[in-house]
Amino acid sequence: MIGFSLRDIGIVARHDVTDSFRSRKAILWVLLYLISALAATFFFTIALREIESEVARLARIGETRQAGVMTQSLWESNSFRRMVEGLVGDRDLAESLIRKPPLVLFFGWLSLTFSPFLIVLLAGDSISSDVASGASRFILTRIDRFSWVTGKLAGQALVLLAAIVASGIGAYGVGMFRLAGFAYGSTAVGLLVACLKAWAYCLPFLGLAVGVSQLSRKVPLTRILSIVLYFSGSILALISDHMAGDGWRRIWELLYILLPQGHRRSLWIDDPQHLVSAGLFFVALCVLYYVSGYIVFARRDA
Amino acid sequence: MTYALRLRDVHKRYGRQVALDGLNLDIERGAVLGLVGKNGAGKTTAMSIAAGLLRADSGTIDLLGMGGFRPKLHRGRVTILPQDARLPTHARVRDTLVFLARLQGLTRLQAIDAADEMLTWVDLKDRATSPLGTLSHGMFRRVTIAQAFLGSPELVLLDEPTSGLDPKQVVQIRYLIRSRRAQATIVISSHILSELETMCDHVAFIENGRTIRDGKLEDVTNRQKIISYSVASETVPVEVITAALPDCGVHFSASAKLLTVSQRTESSSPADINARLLPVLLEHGVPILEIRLGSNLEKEYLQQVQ
Repeated sequence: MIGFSLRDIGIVARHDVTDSFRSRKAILWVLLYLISALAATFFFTIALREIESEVARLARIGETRQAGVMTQSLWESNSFRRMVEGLVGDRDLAESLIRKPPLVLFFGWLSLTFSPFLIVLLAGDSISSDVASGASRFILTRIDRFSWVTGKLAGQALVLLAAIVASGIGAYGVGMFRLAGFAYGSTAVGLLVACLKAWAYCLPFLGLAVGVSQLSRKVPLTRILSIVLYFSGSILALISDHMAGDGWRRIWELLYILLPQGHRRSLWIDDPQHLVSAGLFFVALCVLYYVSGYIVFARRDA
Repeated sequence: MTYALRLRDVHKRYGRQVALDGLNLDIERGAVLGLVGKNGAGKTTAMSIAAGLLRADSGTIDLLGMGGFRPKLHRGRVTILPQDARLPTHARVRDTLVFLARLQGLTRLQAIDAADEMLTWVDLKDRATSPLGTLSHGMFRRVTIAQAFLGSPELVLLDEPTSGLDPKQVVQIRYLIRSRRAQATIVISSHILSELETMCDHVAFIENGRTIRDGKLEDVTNRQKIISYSVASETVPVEVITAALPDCGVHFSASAKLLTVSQRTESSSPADINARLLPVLLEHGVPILEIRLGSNLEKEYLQQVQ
């Protein structure tokens, strides 16, 4: 039976956030996400401009001064809509993609692709470092282990949210200055929603990192193990997505459901049913991963 | 008799290494007990098991009559100063104590009051907002001692509280711990036996994961039975002394210049023995340098382990 106290979880989470900022760990996270978003969005606008210039040259029409004008027109055309529908093979998904400003789509892809790796890289020692330094010994005579681990996870999740929102703000800033016909309102709302989706998608990966960091007091080991498991999971997701089918192949489908990647597609569809179901899966997978680590931690020496 | 801590037949191994091999220990409520033993004897393991940080392989642990360590029951009542444990260096002194006090169940205001009280006690009020990393080793140790006494705990486990400190800091820490006697049951592990002698009223010798002797300090060091006289002479009139103290055993070591008188019965008090012996020594011109009740802890410990 796992005992815990919501009050203690709250105290630990709050302290962990403060502690992360004081130790500059959180600042590192925020800067890392922000700089990545700034750089990636900047290169996205350059690439967009290059493509538009090339298209303008081929079509023998005048080039625009800023990137995005041609893309915006393309985005709104019926033929492009039909093309996207054909590409993704799903009308709802295509509709939902087309409705988003190009920058939001790019940021969504960027954050869903790279944020999980960053969180695994950064949170793989969240418990092991405290156990190794002995700092946990001052705490574990005061609260139960589960409350401590859960509080740490909640604190890291809040720092992660701050980092993702900072990256969204960075992308918005770059887009504002470098994209023509920048839709201030819809892009801001779209980016905010994309940030929340990316955060939800990162939760299982955070759960994985916190789960692994409970397995040993050796910090390098837990860091490496987190990264190895992240890549193994990604490869497994690709294989199971490819292999899933009827009959015995349903086992791959089942496996795919147990991986966060299995619910990633739902994040692109702006339909409450898909979003709520994906969100619940992400929370459940986060709990599943870190509780798996906790089962070992609860039985070992701290 | 009520006990603050009872360990019964506790075993613990680290791989093939046996740390505790059926350890038994009873610590009365209100006692200040010194855990004595060489490195690797099992002192730290015993304390960590009592505090719930390590899992015993077998055996029973009873803290404050409520069974083994359970955070819900024991938080704030049982605290520990872990050996060599570090706190985050960027954390502020008061914030750290407030955080730990809150985890003991105190409200924010109570936690601030408790932290301030402890900072005053360990004389670090002026460093309340300093990051822990800016403190000297001695100051840091005082913070960790402060956390162990936050919120009036009933059982405090102090693992090597003075290790790595300079003599002045050792005196400070010793003074702090002594000032808390009678307010809590305190268990102190240390290699420095003279230090334990000044702080403790009970003692337990641990060797190879077992308790080889425990009891009141005065019993272990025979304070009621032995009086040692350090003299500045290589000869003393042993026959005359034996005649003056027929109910005592008398032994003189010429090389150590130490006269030891041991009571065979409890008929005489140390004061009676002194009253009969000192005139004899002075009459025979034996200069007396020091009178000591009992033997010392170091001697008893060495005798026990040899």
